[in-house]
Amino acid sequence: MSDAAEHPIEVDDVRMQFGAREVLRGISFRVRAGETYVLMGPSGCGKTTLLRCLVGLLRPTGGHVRILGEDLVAMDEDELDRFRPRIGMLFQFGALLNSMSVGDNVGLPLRERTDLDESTIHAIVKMKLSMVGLEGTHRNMPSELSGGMKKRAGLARAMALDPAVYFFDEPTSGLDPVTASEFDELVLTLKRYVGMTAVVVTHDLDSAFRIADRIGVLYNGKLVAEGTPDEIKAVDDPRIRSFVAREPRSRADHAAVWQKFFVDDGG
Amino acid sequence: METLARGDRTIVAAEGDLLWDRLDPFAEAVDAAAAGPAREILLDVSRVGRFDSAGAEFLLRRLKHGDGRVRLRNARSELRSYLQAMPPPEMFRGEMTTILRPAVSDFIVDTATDVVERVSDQVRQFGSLFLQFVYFTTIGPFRGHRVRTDRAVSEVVVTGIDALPIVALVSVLMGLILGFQSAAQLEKFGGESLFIYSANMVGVSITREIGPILTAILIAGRSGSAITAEIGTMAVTEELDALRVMGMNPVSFLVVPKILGLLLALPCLVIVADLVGIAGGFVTGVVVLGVPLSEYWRQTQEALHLSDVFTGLVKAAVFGLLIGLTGAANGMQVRGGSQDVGLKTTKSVVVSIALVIVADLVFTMLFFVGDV
Repeated sequence: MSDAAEHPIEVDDVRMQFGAREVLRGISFRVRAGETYVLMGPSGCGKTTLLRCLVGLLRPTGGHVRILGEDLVAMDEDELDRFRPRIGMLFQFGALLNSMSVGDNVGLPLRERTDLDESTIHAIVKMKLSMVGLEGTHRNMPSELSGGMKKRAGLARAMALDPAVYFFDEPTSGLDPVTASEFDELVLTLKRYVGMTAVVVTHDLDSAFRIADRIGVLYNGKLVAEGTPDEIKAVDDPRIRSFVAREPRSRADHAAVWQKFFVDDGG
Repeated sequence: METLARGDRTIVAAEGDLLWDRLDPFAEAVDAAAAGPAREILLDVSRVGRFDSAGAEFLLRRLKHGDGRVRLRNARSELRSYLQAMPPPEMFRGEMTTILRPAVSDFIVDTATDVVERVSDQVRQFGSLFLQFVYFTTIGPFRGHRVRTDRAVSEVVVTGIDALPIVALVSVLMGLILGFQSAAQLEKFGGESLFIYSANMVGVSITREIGPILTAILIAGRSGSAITAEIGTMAVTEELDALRVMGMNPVSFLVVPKILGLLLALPCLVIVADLVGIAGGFVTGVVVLGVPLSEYWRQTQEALHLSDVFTGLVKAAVFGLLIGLTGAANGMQVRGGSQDVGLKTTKSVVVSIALVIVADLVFTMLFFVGDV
């Protein structure tokens, strides 16, 4: 098996700098075919920036992003555009085009990137919508859907061109616990039946431990730990422990310092 | 408020509620004590009733300024635990800082650099979008980026046909007004016999200037703002990113059809504005000023050259391009949230109206030089 087939996603020493601020400080990891790789970390750790680099929305200031063996960093805009049908991305709030019906949203990549006839497109749209549990919504406008349904529709759209790799941005944030675990189930189902390779960015621990084959923990622009959910739970690094055990980062106890400002003499 | 001096120690017995609108007596008493020679000031807060954040902030500030000299005596547990939840006085950063007033020369330099930066930024965005527009309408179609004529046509409907009533209304009113204004001037030169020339004045000024410029300003306010708001909102909701990730260039998919729509719609609207405006002047001339209908008609035909109408239409197309580019460039610059959508929409309308007028001046000068 060639390297690209074994590891469809390879991230090699990716760095990103905005002005003087270094947001990503040399990140490397590889995702195996059929694997769900979860990137997690506290807010502001750079995980969204990393995801944007992985799908070519941002060009990293250093390093390489190889998807299916091709280096996104070396591509120009036209090459990126041609490459992009091979990746599917689900945005945090679905990012459905509000001016189009749900069905047209899902059909958009098919109409733009293929020469399929309308009846085939229509059939594929219905098929993708039913795969994400949204039968019969293709005529609805995005504004008529709930938050969870929008994400499902966004996933159906990402699946339209049968991409080889998927990227998810906070798939469960803003969902109630039941809807969130339903979404996790959907991801697991797709993994089982479609053999989906995916990178999921999340700060939802429950979801991360449910869906991940492996987890990478980002902290301050660096990957500080990587492993299976059980390995991550067992790591002893305080930065990871505090995140995994949901301890607040630091809450200095001021009470002691205050003591010297109080005088009690009962008078 | 009671102040007791005991040796080198001053005790201020505070009484009452430590609330934001009742802090003055507390401040007076504590500051008076602090001005004295006492080495230690105890603020007895045992009889303080209710307190709020402003009250706590007041205590924090005095404790910090006291530098260890001021302490609180017999604080009740509610007040004590409330204060302990806050950073201790030495970490408190509530000091008044003097605002440094920059020198006038610095101010002028800063403002000038700021203006230059903002203008050059706007020009850069605008220029890059213009080049992309040219690319996607000329070279792009041969490299797999098709021009979305269906979307452009629906934009023509939205920007053009829907704007017809307002453009027609404003133009007919403008025609009526110009009829009166020209009559007022003509009368000074030779009385009512010259009223016939109001046909010239209305016809030429409507077709050359008023028609295109008025339509452009209406469309800048109506469609330019809509383009910025729509594209800006799409930037906020990640719809633009979604398009990019699907391999669809937002400029080719969204912006080009909108600009093409404006480019086509504006000259069409200007033809309507010209006709309706002349009709307005006709009403003034024939009905109010009493110029015979057939003479007014003949005079209008004589006064108008096809080139007047044609230059008006060329201007209109350029105005449409400017409005569309400004609207789209500002929309794509939206960062952050809904507030920026509002800011960029305002900016888009203001900048596009200014650009339209600057372009009009350039055209007028070119034609003037050409004529002479």
